[in-house]
Amino acid sequence: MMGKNMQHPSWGRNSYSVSTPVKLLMNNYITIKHTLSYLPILLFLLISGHHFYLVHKHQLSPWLGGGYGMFSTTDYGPSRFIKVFTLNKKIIQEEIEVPEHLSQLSKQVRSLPNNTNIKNFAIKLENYLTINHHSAAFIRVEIWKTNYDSETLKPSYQKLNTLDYKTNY
Amino acid sequence: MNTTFINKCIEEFNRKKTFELSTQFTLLTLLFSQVGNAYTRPFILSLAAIGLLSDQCRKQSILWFSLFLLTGFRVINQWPMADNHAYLLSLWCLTLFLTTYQESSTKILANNARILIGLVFLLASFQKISAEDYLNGTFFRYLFLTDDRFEDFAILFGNISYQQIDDARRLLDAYQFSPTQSHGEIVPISAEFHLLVVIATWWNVLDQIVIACCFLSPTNSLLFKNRDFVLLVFCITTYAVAPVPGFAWLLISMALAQSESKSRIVIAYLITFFIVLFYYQIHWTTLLVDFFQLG
Repeated sequence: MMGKNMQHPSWGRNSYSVSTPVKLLMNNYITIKHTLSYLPILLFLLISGHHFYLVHKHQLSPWLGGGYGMFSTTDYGPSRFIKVFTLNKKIIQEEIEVPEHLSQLSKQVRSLPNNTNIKNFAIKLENYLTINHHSAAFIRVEIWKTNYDSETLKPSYQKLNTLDYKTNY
Repeated sequence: MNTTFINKCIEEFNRKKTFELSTQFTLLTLLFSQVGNAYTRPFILSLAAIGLLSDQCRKQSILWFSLFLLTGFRVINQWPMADNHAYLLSLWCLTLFLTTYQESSTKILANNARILIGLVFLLASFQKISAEDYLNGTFFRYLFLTDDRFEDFAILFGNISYQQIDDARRLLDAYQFSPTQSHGEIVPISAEFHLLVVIATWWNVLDQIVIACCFLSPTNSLLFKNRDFVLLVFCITTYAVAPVPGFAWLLISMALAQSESKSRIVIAYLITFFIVLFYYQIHWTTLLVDFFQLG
């Protein structure tokens, strides 16, 4: 039994030298260090949350974007396609074939067909058409996906997004 | 090569810590996989080679921070086209950086590895269950008929021919150009092919659910104790067919960090790493199709 004026044997000078704010700071530092150790898991969850947001709001292909949806659906590269038309007074003039040098950008647009990506693609197409002395008041870009019948694989098509881009013509 | 030599090799592996093995195999993964573009790849390869050759360099946080930045840059630069394992590789390099920088315990590294592997498989199985066209077999039916990388496997086990695959692709193209007309049957009539589709569909989703459960279950549970075994079975079976060795090597590198230092588990992971390399280098399905003169 310890008397009223007796100190605990483990209490020494060192324990008194660390003031409460310093202790708090040290505790916080240890907590931050411990939390930081699990930063990769936190980032993993943020990336997957972002993936699901883009899939549901902007039609991102479930295969992409860090959501680990690879080999889970036919909705990826070859099943999505792009259609480009030139318009005049909202009437389709002709269908434009996507040039070879824009194929990589075309893949990106097909994979994530949000308005920003489609608009960037349309601007590039406008430049291409201008260089080739081809002009139109509007460029329409449509992104489609293919759905397959579960037994026969007979395809049906669903439009994911479309945008009419006003050119400088 | 006598048994004494093999025993010496096993003893040497036993002496190595799982952290050391994990970092070495992560660097080997970076060397074997084609990571990054023409500008970043030389740096990634050089750092991986330096790290492999020098024990001291491998323990430096700057090495792992540089690799985190370079692999992270790949994800941003290719957005949104980067493969899913590109994200995981970058996060794993970040984990190794934090471990070396903070000099934190290998237990934290092991926890990160275990939880990350568990989450990967949890998401992968969730995506399969929630997809409209996975559980009904549409996905594998389509994949086996349209993806060049799987056609030999489909011929070998699905009793179909190259001609039938070519016909299916031609018909799919025809439907795209004139969807309203009837062009004929796309899917070949073969009981073995349908059975292959069913087995591939359910095997893939069930083993991924089991792995997620094992890696995320509480320690000391029966599932937790069998986690390495189920992951090894997954790697040996799935990557025999799926041509994504980079993902397999990364999973093995991460799994080494969380495995208890039981020599047989560590050696099983090492052997599996090289089995995947064998799958990658030798197209066994093509060899068997040629040998049996199928297709």
